[in-house]
Amino acid sequence: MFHHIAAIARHTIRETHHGRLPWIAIGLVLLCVLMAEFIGNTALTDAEQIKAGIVGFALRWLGALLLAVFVIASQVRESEDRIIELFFSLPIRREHYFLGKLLGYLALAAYLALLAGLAAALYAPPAVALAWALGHLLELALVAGFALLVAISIGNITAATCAVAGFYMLARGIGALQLMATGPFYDADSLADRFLAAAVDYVALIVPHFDRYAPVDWLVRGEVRAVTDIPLGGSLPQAAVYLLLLCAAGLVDLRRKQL
Amino acid sequence: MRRLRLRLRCLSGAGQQRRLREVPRPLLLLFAGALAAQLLLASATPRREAPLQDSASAATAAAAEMPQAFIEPVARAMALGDPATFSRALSLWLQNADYEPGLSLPLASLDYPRVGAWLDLQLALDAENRFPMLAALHLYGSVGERDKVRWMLEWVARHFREAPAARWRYMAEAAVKAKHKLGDLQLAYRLASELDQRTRGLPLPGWARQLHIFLKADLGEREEARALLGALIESGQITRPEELRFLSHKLAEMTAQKGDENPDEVLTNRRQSVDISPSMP
Repeated sequence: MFHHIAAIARHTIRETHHGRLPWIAIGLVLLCVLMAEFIGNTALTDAEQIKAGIVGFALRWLGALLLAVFVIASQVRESEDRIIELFFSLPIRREHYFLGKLLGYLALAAYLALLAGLAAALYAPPAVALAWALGHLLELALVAGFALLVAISIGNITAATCAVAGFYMLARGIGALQLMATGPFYDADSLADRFLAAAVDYVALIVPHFDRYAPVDWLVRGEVRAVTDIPLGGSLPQAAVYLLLLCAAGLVDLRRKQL
Repeated sequence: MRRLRLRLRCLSGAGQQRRLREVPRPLLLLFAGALAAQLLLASATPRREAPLQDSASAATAAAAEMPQAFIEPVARAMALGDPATFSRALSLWLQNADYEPGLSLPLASLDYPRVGAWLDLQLALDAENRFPMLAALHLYGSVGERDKVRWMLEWVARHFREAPAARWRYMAEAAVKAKHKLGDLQLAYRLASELDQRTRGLPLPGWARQLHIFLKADLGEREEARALLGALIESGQITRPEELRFLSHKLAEMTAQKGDENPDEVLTNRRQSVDISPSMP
């Protein structure tokens, strides 16, 4: 059982090498650092904070984008080239295939988070950069899981990319949406306001709160602020449960697929 | 209808899927369990907003955290070719900067030079963005601290000078605010007088043009106000009969208070030129 999963994971990791993804990621990190140095040096004050902010902000988005595009493109190509059918013609269970692929993508997520953490450590204390990188890893793990799920379910690069982008932006902004829905202009007597606030709260139940996973504020301030925001305290159980949910949904969908 | 349903099935890929009951039950149970766990965990997670903290120290700390404004070239680069939109996005952000998660800050606790720098940036990115001038007057210029209100009125005056034709209304409002909110007639007169000087030749309504004269009168310098009003009437800028009649009346009032001579002499020429008579309604 496990050797099937490990073999498929290794195959997926090899695929990232063939796609020059490690080098692309290093290039992007260097580009972000150079951009941060350039913009930071034009600032009148708070140059280090500005650099940390730019690096963290850009790498968070780029990491998620790179990972999602790779997962979706890889899965859709496997589907179109009938490689999935080839896998399933072998004595491999569909669950093993799914978990193997997910494990490979999680390895890629760990690599991206490591690079981002190293870049962040240039501008923030190492402990803060480590906590931020862990939070970023959890975020990337869920992006990989969701991208795998929609790539298998939808099987179309454009639609799947849009779905992942929507999911990521919603997860990043859900905290702000909740605040806005009950912000200073919230009228408790208005039915529409109450409905909107409740709707946002319900949506918040089914999306992970990426806004708490790896806030760039940590790097800018040089400290991990609230205890509940520490990934290993608050976000890790949520990410674990959510990854389990994505796996279950992906496996149900894969089981239903008629090849 | 049947065709539409078929097409929808093709699009959703439902035609290529097995039925749900063919999925192993443990897998379905895993899915249901994971979903339940997610819902439980999410509902148990406290919302990001904490109870409002009223302590002055928390407010001061949060206010001090307002970041420095970007320099304009950086902001233009960040706008990715859409400075007007970016300017408004900054406006929205600044508008909510006093409302942080769990902390509703009094506006007066904000660092005004920093707020001013953000407002400067918004105007630099898009001179037609009305938020900065409005916010300076009605948000940041309406706080209880007199020094901060004065700071914002000076900010408005500075930006009025850049585009008097487009921003005269804000300058007039600033003068009124200086009089009624601060009770600072000197400042009000200075702003109103500058408004008049820098908008010569522009089609301003009479109330804005005459503001400095009445403020001068309020300052107790009635003689000078009377002279200014007389000069305004003489200048021929007032063409509407009812406006001219009102100003003549004010001039007469000022003269009567001073115990001076009748201003009929000053008015005779203007009355003739705009063809009004005292018997007009």
